[in-house]
Amino acid sequence: MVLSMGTGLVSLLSGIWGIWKRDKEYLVLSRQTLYLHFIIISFSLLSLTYLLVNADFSIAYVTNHVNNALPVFYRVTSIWAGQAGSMLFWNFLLILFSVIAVLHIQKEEPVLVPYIIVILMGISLFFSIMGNFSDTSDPFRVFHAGERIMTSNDGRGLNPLLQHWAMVIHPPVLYFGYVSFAIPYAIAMASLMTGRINLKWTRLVRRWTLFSWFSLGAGIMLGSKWAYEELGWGGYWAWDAVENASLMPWLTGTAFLHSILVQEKRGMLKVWNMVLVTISFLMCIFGTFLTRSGVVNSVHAFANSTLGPFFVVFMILIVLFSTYYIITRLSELKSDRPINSFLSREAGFLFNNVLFVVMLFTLIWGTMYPAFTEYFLKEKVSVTAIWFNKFMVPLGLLLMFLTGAGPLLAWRKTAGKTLLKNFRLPLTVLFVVFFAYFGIRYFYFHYTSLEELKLMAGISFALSAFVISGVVEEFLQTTRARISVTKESFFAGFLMIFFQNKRRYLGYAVHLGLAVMFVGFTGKAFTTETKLVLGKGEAESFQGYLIEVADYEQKSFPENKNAAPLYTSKIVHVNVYKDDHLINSGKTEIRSYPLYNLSNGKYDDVQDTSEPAIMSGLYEDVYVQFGGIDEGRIIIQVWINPLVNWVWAGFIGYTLVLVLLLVPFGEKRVIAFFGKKYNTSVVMQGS
Amino acid sequence: MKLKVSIVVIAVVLGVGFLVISSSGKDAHPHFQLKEFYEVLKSNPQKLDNLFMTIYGNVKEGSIVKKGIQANFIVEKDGLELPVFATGKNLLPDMFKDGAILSMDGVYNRQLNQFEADKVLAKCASKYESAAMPANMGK
Repeated sequence: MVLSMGTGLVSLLSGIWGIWKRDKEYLVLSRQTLYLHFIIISFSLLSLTYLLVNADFSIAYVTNHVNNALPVFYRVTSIWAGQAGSMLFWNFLLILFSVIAVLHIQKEEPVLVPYIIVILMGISLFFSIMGNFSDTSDPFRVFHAGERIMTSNDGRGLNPLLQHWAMVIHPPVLYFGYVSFAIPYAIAMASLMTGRINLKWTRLVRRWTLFSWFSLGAGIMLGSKWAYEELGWGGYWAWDAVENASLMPWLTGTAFLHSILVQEKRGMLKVWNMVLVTISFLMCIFGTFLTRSGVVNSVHAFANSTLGPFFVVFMILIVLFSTYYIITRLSELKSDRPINSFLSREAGFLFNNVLFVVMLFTLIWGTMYPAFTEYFLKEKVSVTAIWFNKFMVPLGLLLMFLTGAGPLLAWRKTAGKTLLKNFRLPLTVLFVVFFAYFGIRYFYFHYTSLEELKLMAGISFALSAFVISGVVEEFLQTTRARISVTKESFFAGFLMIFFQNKRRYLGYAVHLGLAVMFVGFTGKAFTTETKLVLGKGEAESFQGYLIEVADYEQKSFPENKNAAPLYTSKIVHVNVYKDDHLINSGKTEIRSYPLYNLSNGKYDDVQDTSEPAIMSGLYEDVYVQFGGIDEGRIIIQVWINPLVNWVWAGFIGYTLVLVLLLVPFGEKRVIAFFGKKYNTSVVMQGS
Repeated sequence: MKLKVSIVVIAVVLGVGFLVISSSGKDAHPHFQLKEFYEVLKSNPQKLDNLFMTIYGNVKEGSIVKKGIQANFIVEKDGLELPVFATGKNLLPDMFKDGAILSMDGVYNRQLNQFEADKVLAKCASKYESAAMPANMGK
């Protein structure tokens, strides 16, 4: 850890000196020390992995996250189970991405490389300093004298809540997103510092930004999936501070991905893009700060950290540094031309950016409100989920409208005739869905009040349909145009449009995935829940389902009587009937994991985990959680969660499309791979 | 056109910003450490009547009496104690046990001198290491 601080410092200082004195030898030294820094950080990470796998209980971090019974797989994933390991992993990823970025940019734009190294080393040094000077961030800290008082040689083990497939990959994927945003930021700042504010930097940051944005989105959704399957409270999102923290850079990242398009196509929003890439990176640091500092409360329940002041100072430095360089280059960042019309694609992008920023402000305000009120009013007050929904739902719907409308607008100005032609089908679908929704609610279900009719849900369904129909129409028109030239089959032509212009059509496919997810989010408006108290073999009706407690048992796992139990479980077997037919079965549990008590060296501590029975369908989930036993009767809480599978389906679509976008596999390679079946030169004209 | 666009952007940002800031007090509730709660109870007890609030405290060892999904227990901190009744409106969290650090949402019942908690949160995953540490660790 000390060595990594040394190499980080040498790389940073030699880089600064080399830039200042224009001395190539120092620039080479800076780059080579970066590689050495990478080797040392990698060695640190490997050492921690070795200590975790071998359960070296002389190390405080190992004792807190590993025990003798923990499988090797979970010992490895314990790297990111606690603060100190997470911080080391953060630093490792940063240097890994730095090395990849430097090797790539060295070929494309070598003049930027020394500046990029200086910026990235500055960031890495911050994490190295934390690892060395903060007790809570040192993964290699040995126990202080008299601190380790247990008698037998075992550790606490990994929190059972973290022993879940989604939780194994959720933290690293989220970290990929948080950390990799440093690369676009460093490239942007290097462009400002060198004065090379041409189009090239936007091209260099594009894939990195996409990667960060994809990782953040995937990380957020994996966290939601984990919460839904593991926490047993029936939901996947609660506007919790840590959830909000991960959403913040995703929002600004989305805005940035759209606004660099405007700069590339129209030479506009140059200052804004610099501001946005800075805010996005700042939000990544802010998110880490929120998660690790304990400044606000969360169900993730952090506190007692010494990291807060480190992060505050670091964020102030980022703001000062970025602001200085943006201001000094202000005259070179002027737009090439103004926006000509509100009915233009650039105006659409601008308003989409405004909405993202407004959503970011709302999230920050709501999340930090307890800290603000405590600091300024000396009374801690927090806003509720209702408050977040009050703003984020309408803002999200407006965003959905722009998601659908943006691609239908032309650059510069959309003529009235084109506007009518492009909007005709999507708007028709929007109104059909909107009136069909209210028609069904009013005439079939006989809801009459606005509250019962659920206005926002109707608008959300209609807007999702608006986006989906717009995208599908675009796909069909392009496919028809393509196959009229290539004479391919419709299916082949349809597939090939995604490789013909990946950025455009896969971008639209991402919109499609998000619209499907929005349909799923809307289902939340119809969630119902109840508690049932049933004896074994008894059943009760709820929302058209008959829910039966089929059996109740207590077991130890593993069931092999010679092995020590990993956990004991109280299991309730549930059957779900509809119209007298058994449609699904499941089991819900409360597991009790024995925990090693560090203070007395005995297994007299217990950690419970809830394991819900989730019986999923296309239309809705029946979600059952065992609550306990009352006078011999079993208490279960039941949620009917409509459309949850649409959330996961949209997420899978989002993931697949973004993976396709990230891999360097365009039409030329597809043709080379599958064989040339048509006149390539004709096809490429449309690319 | 530039002016029109600027006016619209500024109007949207300021409008929503104003709504966000001005409305935040309405859908909000206060948070109290046990010490702060007793200070208010002593100085202005009526203020606590029907006030939805969040209270923090640690579960007193051996105080939990569970009845199905409801529970009676005592939270303590800084030498102060408060009886709590978990109403069962929401299921108790997995980490609810003796010594757990809790955040409880609910109302205070002055007649019964107990806090009636609809929702109880306990320390979870990402803070597990510190929550699990004995008091003498990490010092």
